[in-house]
Amino acid sequence: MGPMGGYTGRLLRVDLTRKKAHVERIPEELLLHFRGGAAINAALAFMELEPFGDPFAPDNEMIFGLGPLVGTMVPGSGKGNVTARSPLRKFIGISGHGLFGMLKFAGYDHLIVTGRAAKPTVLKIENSNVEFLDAGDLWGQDVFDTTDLLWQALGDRFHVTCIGPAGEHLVRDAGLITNKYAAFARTGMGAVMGSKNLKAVALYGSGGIGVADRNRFLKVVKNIYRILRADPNLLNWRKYGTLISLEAFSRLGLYASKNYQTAYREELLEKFPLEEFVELFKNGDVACQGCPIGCKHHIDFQASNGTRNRLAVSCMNSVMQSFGTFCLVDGWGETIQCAETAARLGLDFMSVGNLISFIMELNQRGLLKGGDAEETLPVWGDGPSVRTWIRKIAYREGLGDVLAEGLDRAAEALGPETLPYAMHSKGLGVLYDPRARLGSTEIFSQFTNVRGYISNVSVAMVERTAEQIRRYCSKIGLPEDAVERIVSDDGYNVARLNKWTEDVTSVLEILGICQFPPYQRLPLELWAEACTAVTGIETGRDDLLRAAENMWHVRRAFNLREGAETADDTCPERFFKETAPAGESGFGPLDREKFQQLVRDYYDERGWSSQTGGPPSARMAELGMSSTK
Amino acid sequence: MKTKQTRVVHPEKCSGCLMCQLVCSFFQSPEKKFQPSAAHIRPSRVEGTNRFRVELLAGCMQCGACASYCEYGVLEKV
Repeated sequence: MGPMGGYTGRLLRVDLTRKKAHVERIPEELLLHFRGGAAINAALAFMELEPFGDPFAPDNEMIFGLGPLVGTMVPGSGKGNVTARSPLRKFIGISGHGLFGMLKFAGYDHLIVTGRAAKPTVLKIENSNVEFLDAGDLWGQDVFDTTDLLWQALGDRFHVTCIGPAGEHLVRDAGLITNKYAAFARTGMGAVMGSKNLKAVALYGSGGIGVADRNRFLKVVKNIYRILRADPNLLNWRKYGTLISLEAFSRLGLYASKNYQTAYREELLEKFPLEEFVELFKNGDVACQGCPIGCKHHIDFQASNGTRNRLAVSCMNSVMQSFGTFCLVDGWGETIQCAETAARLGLDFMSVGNLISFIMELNQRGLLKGGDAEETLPVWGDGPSVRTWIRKIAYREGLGDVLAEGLDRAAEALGPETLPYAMHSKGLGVLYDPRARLGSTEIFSQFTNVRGYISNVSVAMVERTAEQIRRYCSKIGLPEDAVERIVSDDGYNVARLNKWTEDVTSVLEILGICQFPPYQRLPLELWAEACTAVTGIETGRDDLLRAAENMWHVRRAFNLREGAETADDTCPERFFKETAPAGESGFGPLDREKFQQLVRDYYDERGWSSQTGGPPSARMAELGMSSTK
Repeated sequence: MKTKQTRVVHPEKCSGCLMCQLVCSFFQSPEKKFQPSAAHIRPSRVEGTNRFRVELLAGCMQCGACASYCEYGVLEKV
């Protein structure tokens, strides 16, 4: 029997080339093996995308998906996912945010956009009506102006997801942004959208989402609320958002600076006093759909030209980190202005910071020659210069055109002497220095992850004892045999733990729940119970973990089919060769042998081949994925 | 006995989470689904922003469910 609630069971497939749209049923075997959202997206990408395809070719697909809990009152249930062939390198592109739930009320769990429009287009979806609107007047407009113009034209009940000039210019680190603040930021999804001549998706739905067992549902929701409301830190999560860890991370030296030449310690707190942000810049809370935490911020600030501007920012830590620590721009006001520029142009905050700090280091080392050297190059800490370079990248001006190709291609174009300074994993800029804390699953995962880093800030971001990790594992309900492999008397194995923190966060992204730590720390049984109550399909912890595992296998298989190798799962060489001074001490270099052993441990925990990194063939056959294309 | 009333007390605190509409439609709409369009409460966007005016609509039953689940202090049952 099929699901009785939660899912719509419908996929809307839109072909921009032919200006056609039709509805398909989502096959039951996909629901069975992958459960929803990000996992079904991964399966669809594997089944439908031709190997070795061009990410900018019309047949690349933007696959949006929402899990079964999206649209309900389950706390945090707004999370959506977009998956496509990434323009960064030969890897699957994956990104998520919490404000795409309107698709569900329009009647769809998934939306696939394929083809290429003959001219700039807005895709308007209002329940069963799909229209292809001329976007000639919008092409060239920034994200904020595009959104305003569409709200004026269509009504502001529409949720507008659009690209800025960066996406139009196929900048490989371009994102797409919903309602001016919620970003599908990483892995270049904005460039894919630009390649389709698709300026925006405007969504409105008036339909409803039912639940299968009302009493069971209300009981589990009450339980989830009881745990969340008892969290003594809940209001701090709201007050500070992702900056909540600023002090702890600074003490640990986790904020790299100058393109990983050094790291900040407590002195960062003088550049970025936390309470100053709250008192002088923050002016209210912003939330994703159905979220009682509200980690995002309304911000008021004074721009360089003296005007008072307003901005809603999703991840304030990424603003501070990308422009403040990577590029050394000083203080909240200057970095917020950089964020406004990047958001308007539709660029991923983190990646653009990676790119500009790369070019800053090349300039510092005198590695830019010829015509390149004649440009006014950015120097560490110069906010206006950073904003100039954000624009140069978005519009592909001068050397910005080279940077718009992403870190790895830019370094290849600029010469072999620049390669050691391109700090990326699989083309995606590195965010945290593994020399400072390889014991963090989030930091380690940057190098083994299928996309090169995925945000799963988890229990091990700060220092933990083996006993603390054991308690965490048992609290969320990991299998006992896994806990025994992860934790020993003298510590824990970060690679093996990483497999499970990835799976736990993936359970959330599959169901459509935010991966923010307060949600991660709830027992998996509770999420399984919510899934059962909503869908009417009896679901246990192990069912969800299996769906998460299946998703990782399929994402991995997608990459391998594209030519990914085990050698891709490594660190930039700098981390094996240099020490990073931090305060009165320093970090690193990493022990290469130990690092490589951890990668092998990760494969082993995932059940991937130590030789090829391939997922187990029996499971892939069970999923019906072995011979697909 | 004094009848309780649901009131919008701090609309400026609205985070845009839509929980009020989700809850209202689930408890009070005929189909008992999560359906913001069927809710008797409406956060309307302040032009061009992610701030909202919040109003109770004519069909509001004053049940207070929205206030019970508004975590941002916009609504109160008084």
